[in-house]
Amino acid sequence: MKDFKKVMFRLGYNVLVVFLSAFFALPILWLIFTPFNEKPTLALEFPLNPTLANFAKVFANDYTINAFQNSLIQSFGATFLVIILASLAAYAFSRVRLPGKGIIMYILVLFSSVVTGIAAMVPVFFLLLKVGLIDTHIGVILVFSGGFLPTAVFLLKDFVDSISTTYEESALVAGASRLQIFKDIIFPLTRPGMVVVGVFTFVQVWSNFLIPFLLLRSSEKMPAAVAIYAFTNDVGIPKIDLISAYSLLYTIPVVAIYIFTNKKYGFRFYGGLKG
Amino acid sequence: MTQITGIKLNSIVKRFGDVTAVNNISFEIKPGEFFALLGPSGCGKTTTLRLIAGLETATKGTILFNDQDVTRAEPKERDIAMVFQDYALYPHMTVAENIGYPLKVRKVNEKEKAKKVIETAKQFKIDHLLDRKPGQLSGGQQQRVALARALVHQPKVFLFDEPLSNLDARLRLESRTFLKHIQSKLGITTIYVTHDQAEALALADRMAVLKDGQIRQLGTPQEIYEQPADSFVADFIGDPPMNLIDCRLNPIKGNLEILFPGIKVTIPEEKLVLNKKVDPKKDYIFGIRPEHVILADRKGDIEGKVYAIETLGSMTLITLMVGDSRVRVNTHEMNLGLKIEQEVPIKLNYDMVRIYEKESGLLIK
Repeated sequence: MKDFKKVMFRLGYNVLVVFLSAFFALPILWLIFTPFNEKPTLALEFPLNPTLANFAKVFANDYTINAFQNSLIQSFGATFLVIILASLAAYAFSRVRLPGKGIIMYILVLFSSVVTGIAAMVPVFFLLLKVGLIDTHIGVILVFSGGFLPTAVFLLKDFVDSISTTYEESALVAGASRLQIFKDIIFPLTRPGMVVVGVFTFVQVWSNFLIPFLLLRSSEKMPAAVAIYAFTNDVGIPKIDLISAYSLLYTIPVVAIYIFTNKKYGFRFYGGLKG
Repeated sequence: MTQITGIKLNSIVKRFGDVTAVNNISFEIKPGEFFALLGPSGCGKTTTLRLIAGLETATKGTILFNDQDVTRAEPKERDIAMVFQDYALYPHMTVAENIGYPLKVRKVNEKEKAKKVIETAKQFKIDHLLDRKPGQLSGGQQQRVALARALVHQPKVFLFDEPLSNLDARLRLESRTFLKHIQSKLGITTIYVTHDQAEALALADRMAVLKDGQIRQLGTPQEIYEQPADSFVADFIGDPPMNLIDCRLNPIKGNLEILFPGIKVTIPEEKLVLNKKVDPKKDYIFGIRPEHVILADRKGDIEGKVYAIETLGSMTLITLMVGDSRVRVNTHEMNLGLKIEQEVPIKLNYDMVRIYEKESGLLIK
């Protein structure tokens, strides 16, 4: 009797796991298989006669290639800016004796989500309009950077905190300047943290739809996330063949970046190294 | 050869907010001297070292290197080297890069740098480890790398912040000897911070004992060991520690009565000449090192009862109950045939007895 109960429990548990896995796996399988079908639909079909025709159609469209370029400009731009500024700021926040710096940090993190959130979009739009950055890559990059910087500083500060100050002191005594110390010691030791922050920023910017959609006006500056909306016919019916192929291409940079950084640096959520 | 530097600290005060870490310290270190700063944790010894290194700035007072005022100078203007307690070896650099770092920031060209790194590494017998990362080294090897890095640019002053405390006991002894050898050979002015009195005694030419941000005694290890200036120093220096017993002193007609808890000893006054008049109502501390208490054959000054016998290899530590106090006796004799609770006569070497006032802790003999 007891064994029967145990078996039933195991069975039920496994069925549930299979069901849940299938539920989450379906969209991913659709994303992988559909573009290779001759006539893609919303149903999941295994491509029996795989074809690259859908990709050819995507590449034939200048607009889409251009959109990928824009995505790369904006994502790398914001990532680069966030890493540089956040690491400098994190170093300062970690090392400078400043009264109330914990509260400043907390407030910054708390309000940072507002910058890239919907509520602030109207003022952000007007702000960019006034300074003439509407419909520019710089404008988009700055808004993203502003939004992600506090979180990035917060994450990186933890990394810098875990680096013993004696490294810096020994370098100071050895005759190094502050900038040399940052370059030779702090930067290499916080690099794993910068990688985490960088990947985080890249993925967020790459996948964001709303901000570029609102802040950019001309279609030749739209990033990939926005361009996907162009794949409808005149009456607004989505072209599944283009969308499916395009979606798969759209995920490649994110996956590639993740695999590359994980292989090269490995993701770690602490700084320093054991002496 | 680098120029040998003397160091002078004039009434140095360092405050952190309301806390006074260093309270009016003055001392002078002669060129080429091995100087130790000794004290319990929180006594201000590390702060003093950091002030000399330039990692902290003094609130008051001046620091001179060879009559040149460096009180407000940046560390890099002082041409010093420092070895930290955790060695602070850069974990992402190889041993060679670590040793070469002071040369790198001095913009020494690559060829000369490589030459000097190998030269220094050979001197410390770590030239076979140059390609490794610090994480792959043992504690002793890490320490040698830290020393090599500190010495590679031939600093004027060598600073140590408890460099041996992370090593196990055996390695610590070996490293201590090595340090002493290197320092004697190079003759670089050295300041060494430690809380281990044995280390300070073993290494230093002269030393300062600190407590609560002030110097309690300054002198050679021998002076400090034999003539501790106050009861704190007496208690802090020496292993096994000095016997310090509360007592009262009562001079009667050319004799001196020493009243220990539970026992009284009377000796002729000339045996224990005090530099201050004795007040019979005041409390005193009677101090004598364990090696100056001698087991007598027949008649001694006092009788003690054996409490414990500990064999320490080269010597035997015997603890006696004298009156109500415990007295440690250190002897080189091995087979004493003593039994616990046995009555033993002891003699005191009165030349080496130190008397302190209980209230002020000051030495009066």
